[in-house]
Amino acid sequence: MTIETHLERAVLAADLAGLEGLDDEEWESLGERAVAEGLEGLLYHRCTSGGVDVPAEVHYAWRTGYWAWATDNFAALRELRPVLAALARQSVEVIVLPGAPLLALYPDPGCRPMEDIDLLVRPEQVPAAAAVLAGLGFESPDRYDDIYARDGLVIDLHDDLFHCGRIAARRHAGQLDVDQVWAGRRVQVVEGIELCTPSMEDMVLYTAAHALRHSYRRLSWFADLRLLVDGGLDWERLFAGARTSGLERPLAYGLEFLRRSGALPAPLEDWLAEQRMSGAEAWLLRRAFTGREDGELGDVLWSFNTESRFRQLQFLAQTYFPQPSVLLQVFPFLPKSLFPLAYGLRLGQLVFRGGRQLVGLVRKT
Amino acid sequence: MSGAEKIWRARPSLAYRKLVDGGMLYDEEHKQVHHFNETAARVWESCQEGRTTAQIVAALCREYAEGEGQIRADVEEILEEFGESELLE
Repeated sequence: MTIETHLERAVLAADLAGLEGLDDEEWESLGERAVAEGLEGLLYHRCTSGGVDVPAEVHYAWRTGYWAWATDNFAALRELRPVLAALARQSVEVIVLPGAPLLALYPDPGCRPMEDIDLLVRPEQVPAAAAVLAGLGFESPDRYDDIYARDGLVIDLHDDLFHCGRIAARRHAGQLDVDQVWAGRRVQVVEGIELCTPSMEDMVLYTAAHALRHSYRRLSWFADLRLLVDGGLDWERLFAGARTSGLERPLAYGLEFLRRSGALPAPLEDWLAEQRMSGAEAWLLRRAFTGREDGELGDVLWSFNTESRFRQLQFLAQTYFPQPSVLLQVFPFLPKSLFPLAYGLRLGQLVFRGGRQLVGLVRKT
Repeated sequence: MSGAEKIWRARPSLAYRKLVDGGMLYDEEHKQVHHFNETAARVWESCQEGRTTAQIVAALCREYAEGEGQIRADVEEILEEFGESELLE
């Protein structure tokens, strides 16, 4: 069994049996992979409560990560409460998008990383929300107008689910309808804090699309997905939501991955059996899964979700060569006035990454 | 009332979270997080329940193999630290 398989089984199926037989080198490798994928907290919790004997160095690294995430997440949620109250006082409605709501699915806040808190507000209320955040002392880092940071709390302000303002072609590649999300919202208590969150079904779709968007680089998104689908969903609502938002493909991809480490609930298995993929798409998906570590195929796969070849090409062009304000975020060292150079750098970056991906594929094949 | 009979009470405004090998406390007023090892977490949970030192020591003696003298010394030290950090009422 490979380290990847051990990791998947431990994370997605809570199966720790295979870890007992690992040698020092394999433990080291597993320890590093877990940290790189943001899974050290969950594994530390599972191994500690399951009585698994973890080598000292890995134990130290995982424990450090676990306590750091627990501290940061718990403090961030507590700091969020007065922010939400201030927004409510100005009649700004807010939905807290995943990840924060997903913490409720885990044993404690040390088990899942959360780098920022994503808040969805209605488009017409973005200026009011920004004013409230500025009034509370939040500031936007250079080149990130929709990020607001204060002390350790970072808020990513959305007016849609996938930041289509940054890359407009995303609107044609499956889009969780904002009105659908607002209509399905519910109140959820996370670590003692009352949050308005999307429905469980919308969180499944959001998580599946988010993982695809980031080329499945982190197994932690599949851990989220596994916990969500095991959490009791309204299947018809999920399938209808996937259909109307054009997110059947991202959902099917995510479920395909989950199925590798354990059976899915029967309605999902049945639904998945009905989904059809072209040969190229299935091949790319397999490659995306096997090459997760340095994955770059998410956007290519996502482009299959568009309705025509023209839209697919437009999506790829805008994704790989986005508008200057977005590209300047990729190359923060480049002065704004020299933004045309960013396109050349981007081309070089893509060629380098493509080459690396190709070498990885050849090795794995 | 002797020290052993004093009822300890946690400051209610503090948010406590039990973790797999300890616990943590968030002090919103001072924007401060306190980390507890397993023993300190057990002592804190006892303070939340309004226990006396004697009750806390007795409970820990049932859980841990160390002698009562050692456990009492540890509990008193932990309570003193809680007091110094103004975590108790």
